[in-house]
Amino acid sequence: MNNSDSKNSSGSCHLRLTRSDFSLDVSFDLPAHGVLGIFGDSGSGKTSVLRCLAGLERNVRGSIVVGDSVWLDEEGQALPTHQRRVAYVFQDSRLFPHLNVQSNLSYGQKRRATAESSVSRDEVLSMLGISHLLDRKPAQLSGGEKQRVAIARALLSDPAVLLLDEPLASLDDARKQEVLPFLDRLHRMVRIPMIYVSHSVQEVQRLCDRLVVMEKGRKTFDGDVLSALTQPNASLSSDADAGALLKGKVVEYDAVGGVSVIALTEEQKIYTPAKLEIDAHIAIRIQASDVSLSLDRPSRTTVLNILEGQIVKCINQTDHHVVATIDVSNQKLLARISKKSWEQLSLASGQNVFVQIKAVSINDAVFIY
Amino acid sequence: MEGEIAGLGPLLLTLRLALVTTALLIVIGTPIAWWLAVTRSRAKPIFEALVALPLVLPPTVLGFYLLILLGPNGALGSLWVTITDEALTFTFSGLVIASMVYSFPFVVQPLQSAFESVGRDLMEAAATLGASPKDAFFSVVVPLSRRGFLTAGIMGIAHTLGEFGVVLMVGGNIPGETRVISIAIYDHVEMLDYAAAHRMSILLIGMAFTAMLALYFVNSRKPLYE
Repeated sequence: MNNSDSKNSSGSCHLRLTRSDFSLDVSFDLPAHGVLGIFGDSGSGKTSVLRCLAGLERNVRGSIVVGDSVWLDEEGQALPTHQRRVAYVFQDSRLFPHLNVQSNLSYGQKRRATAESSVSRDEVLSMLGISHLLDRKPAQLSGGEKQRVAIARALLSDPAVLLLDEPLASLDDARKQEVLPFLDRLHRMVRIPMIYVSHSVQEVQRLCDRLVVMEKGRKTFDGDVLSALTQPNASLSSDADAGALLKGKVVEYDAVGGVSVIALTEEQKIYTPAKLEIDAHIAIRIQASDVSLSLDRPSRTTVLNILEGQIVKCINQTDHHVVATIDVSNQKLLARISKKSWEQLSLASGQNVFVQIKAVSINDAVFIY
Repeated sequence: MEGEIAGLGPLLLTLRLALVTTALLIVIGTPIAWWLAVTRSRAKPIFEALVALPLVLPPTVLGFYLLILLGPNGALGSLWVTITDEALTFTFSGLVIASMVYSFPFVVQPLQSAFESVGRDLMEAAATLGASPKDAFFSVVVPLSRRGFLTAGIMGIAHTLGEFGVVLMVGGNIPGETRVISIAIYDHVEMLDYAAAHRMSILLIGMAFTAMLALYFVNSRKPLYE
């Protein structure tokens, strides 16, 4: 996926937007294929980036070049939205309520798709599993179905770049799990480059190849997803959502207990309640709030996952919590500890500790190969 | 009295006036209502107040200034005379213009609120699918606003049917040209021909009721899209 030649980028953008309470100033290369994630908290400006790219914001300064066409230049010449080959999947799907699914799908296709569209209608319908919904009105669809139709509608308009603005944010967890596999498939099967905005680490690590992390309208990270996730001080580790990736190899599946064993090294192993393929290389995200520390090896505990490590760094996260970075066999793990227990154990950098991980969820896994 | 069959002349004239006025108002009012629905201009309240003004002004005030404006020496009247060689006052054309002013808010306000409830979001979605603003307006906003158009049409017609003061000021009482049903009723009452006044009044009540019934019928059905 990540060729190192110049084909890696299909264009570039530099976006500046000033409002009374917010300013945006970012530049990054647009992907030629694959999914670029834009990650950040609400208010970080990630949705504004998409809206600027689509031409939905006024008074944007900077430049946008996609392939051979200039969408925005420094003189302030902006191509209107409908003339940009861009498609946008909104959080709230925005299907046209007076049209049935069929007509919603053909709305963009009729207006823009060329003979050599890169995706075929049948492919899109089966990929998103919506062939049976064509005669329905949007009001008769579930939230997950609406988003799948919205994605199909966007794809069929033959965009040069597909923008997805938190397409799962308005869905409950069950619906999210329903749509995620379709997004996975989209990622694997469609060659149109995509930009995926999200504040969910889980979605980003599952779907994106490259990541731009944003904070207060500025870019704080731009690189591949794995390094963003393992870099403990990247802003991915902000607030309660903090976490880090542990990489290892599946060595065993215990059919009786229903757990798979992932070896980080010969001695250090973690267990996860799922059946995984033996020998698969895997990266699992461990939430900082699921990690606790102990000075002695815990015995008689229900926690299965106990690793040995060393505290390398500690930052005050809030008034009551610290986030410690632990070196575990040369991998970095984050632990979110209350300040009180931190002080009670007189923990400090350089100290050897035992790390207990409460939950290792396979939902947070990334398969490397 | 003037050889009319049971007031048929004034009735037909009134209907023609209402239909022509409403049709023109929908054509002119649609872009104005759209602008009011989407503008971010700070001057919006000023324009909304102007649109609403005919609701509260006495028809005589409207009629008085329209008479001056449409008269042979008025700005619009003299222009009209040079173009068509006809006066605007005391003619059907003048009556149409006056009625358009008088019924303006009844057409523009329902359209504006229909457009506002469609909102900007779907226009954005249409634009990202390659639709120009005009295309998006006709393919998305208009079909989603069809109740608004129906309401605007019925309100425009119903309100123009009952017009009296403005017509009296700018149109007078010329049979076949400006003698609408409300004027005819007034005449009959003046001449103590109560029977004729009754006939026409009951006719007007029937028409007004039918229009209102249609309006509430349109708006009482369950939401179009939920």
